[in-house]
Amino acid sequence: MGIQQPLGGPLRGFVESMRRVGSRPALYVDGKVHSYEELGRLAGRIAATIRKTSPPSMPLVALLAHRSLTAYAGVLGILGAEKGYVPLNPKLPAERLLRILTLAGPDILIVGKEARRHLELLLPKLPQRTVMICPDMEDLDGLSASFPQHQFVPGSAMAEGALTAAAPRAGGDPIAYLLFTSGSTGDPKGVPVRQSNLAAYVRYIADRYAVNEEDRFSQMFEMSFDLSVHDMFVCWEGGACLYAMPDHTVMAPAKFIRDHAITLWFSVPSVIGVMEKLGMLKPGLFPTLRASLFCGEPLLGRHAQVWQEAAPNSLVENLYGPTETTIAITHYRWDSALSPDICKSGITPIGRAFTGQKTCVIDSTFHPVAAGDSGELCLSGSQVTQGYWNNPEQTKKQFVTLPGAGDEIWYRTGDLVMEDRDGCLQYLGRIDHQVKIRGHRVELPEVEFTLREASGSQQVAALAWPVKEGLAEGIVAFIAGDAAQDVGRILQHCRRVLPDYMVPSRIRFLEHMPLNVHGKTDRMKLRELLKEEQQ
Amino acid sequence: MRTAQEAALAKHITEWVKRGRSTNGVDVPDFSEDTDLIAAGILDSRGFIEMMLEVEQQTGNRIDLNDIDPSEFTTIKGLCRCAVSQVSPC
Repeated sequence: MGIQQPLGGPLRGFVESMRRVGSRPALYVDGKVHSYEELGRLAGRIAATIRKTSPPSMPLVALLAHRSLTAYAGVLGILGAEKGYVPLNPKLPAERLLRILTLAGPDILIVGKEARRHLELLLPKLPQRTVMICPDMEDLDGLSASFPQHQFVPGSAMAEGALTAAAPRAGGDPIAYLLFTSGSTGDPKGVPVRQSNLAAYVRYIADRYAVNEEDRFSQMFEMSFDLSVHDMFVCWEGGACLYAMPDHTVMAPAKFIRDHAITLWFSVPSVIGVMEKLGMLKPGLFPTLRASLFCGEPLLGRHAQVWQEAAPNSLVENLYGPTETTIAITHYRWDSALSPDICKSGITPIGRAFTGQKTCVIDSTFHPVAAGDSGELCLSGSQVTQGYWNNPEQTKKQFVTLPGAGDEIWYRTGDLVMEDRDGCLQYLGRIDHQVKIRGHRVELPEVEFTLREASGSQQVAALAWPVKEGLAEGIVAFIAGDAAQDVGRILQHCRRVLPDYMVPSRIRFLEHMPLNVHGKTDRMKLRELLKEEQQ
Repeated sequence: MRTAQEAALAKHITEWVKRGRSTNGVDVPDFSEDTDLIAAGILDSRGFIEMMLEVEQQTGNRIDLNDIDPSEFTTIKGLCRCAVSQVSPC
């Protein structure tokens, strides 16, 4: 795959905005506004401290922080030190964070004070000697004494330095960030996204929505979710201000949008469903919005229309894309007059590839299907990453060449789609056992792996349930064999190792697991059992 | 001043949340009427909607949340206050 020279990478946009509109607001977080100069100054010190501490051969730095000045300056500082960031969501169980740290192997951890309690849980088990850079903490003597094998750098001891966007070395294309998604083997799967991948995305999107310094971006996504990368870098590319939403506003954000006159909104579609059920969406509610983007799970046409009426001055777009192809790679603009008739099963199309990116719909022999036929969606272009982190087997399976298409690499999404005669793609579902819960990718085999660990039974199954209007709301587990198991203990184990959205809402015990004619778990039968329960 | 109606509703909703959480024998974390149920991880968005519906069913009124700061209605006490004072919420 050809590497596109990133010309200073994703940091270039921030640094240029800092030069151009340095005194303008770049970030609103914890009730305070920070200018480009202020944010850049802190990021420069973080970058200088990383450079002083870690050899250039180490490609990654982990970031344990959440919606704080340290979190955002940390991202910029890590990139300024020419390294990629590995976001650690403090809300995830400590065991999962340790697994990610073991897989990624960073020697530096940037820690925000809001995550100090989580750091104390991780410290006894960190897999290697680590330097903790703590920009907003001073009192670290106790930790230094308890964990002499690690180094702690308080804010006052950080190095001085300016934030710059260096062009990568010739032929180089450093990792911008490494995210971990649910993996089917029980381990999270790492996706390294290169600077060239991110730069291609940011340039295209910032141009498309004509982002400028008057804009105010919502920032709702956790940093461990790649849609947060859009919020930060598209915003700063145009010199706009990023509004980090406090946790308590995320579920019901209407007041936040209005109070801060947000102009560009980006969220998972299920936020519309929640707001609608709470009676919060009314026509004309959001007059300041000029672009509303939704991504991460199917967008119901009904929801797109309700949002369009609430935000009459806004364009409404459905974005689609797996983490492996950098945030999003296709888009569809909602049209209140035409779109309702185009929706399939009530779901908004995912539209067409971004200019410069490519789609191909293939059959089981990897050959393109005819227009109007369904098949697996494959993606290619400058946004497509090069493979999984230290996982050649999965890389070989998902990143492939297609017959007659030369040596071009295509990413197999596992998504079943249909392309109509106008080239518009419709999302039809998955071809495997991956589901989306509240926008998060969940490999059901990973949940089943954990259930086997917890129960000792080999006959387990995890099902997305209930599924309403094509959207999965949670997971129900089945365990066959020993009905005398302690449900609470099994669920506690799941909570210890899995993110909350992957923990089954309940467990049902069966004497025998139903099997289909091929001897595999009969998931249809399990679904029927759940339907019977409802009646 | 808290009304008797608010207090009774809050007591009912506290029990309702505890009952929902204890399904499957999972330990219910300590919480009070002042606990932010979302931040504490006691309810997710689906659970919150269900709690809202329960409150609305109890009062027979639809609650308008649009101009209320979410930090006020993510506690049982705050939500019940909003629900009971429908004419001028919170």
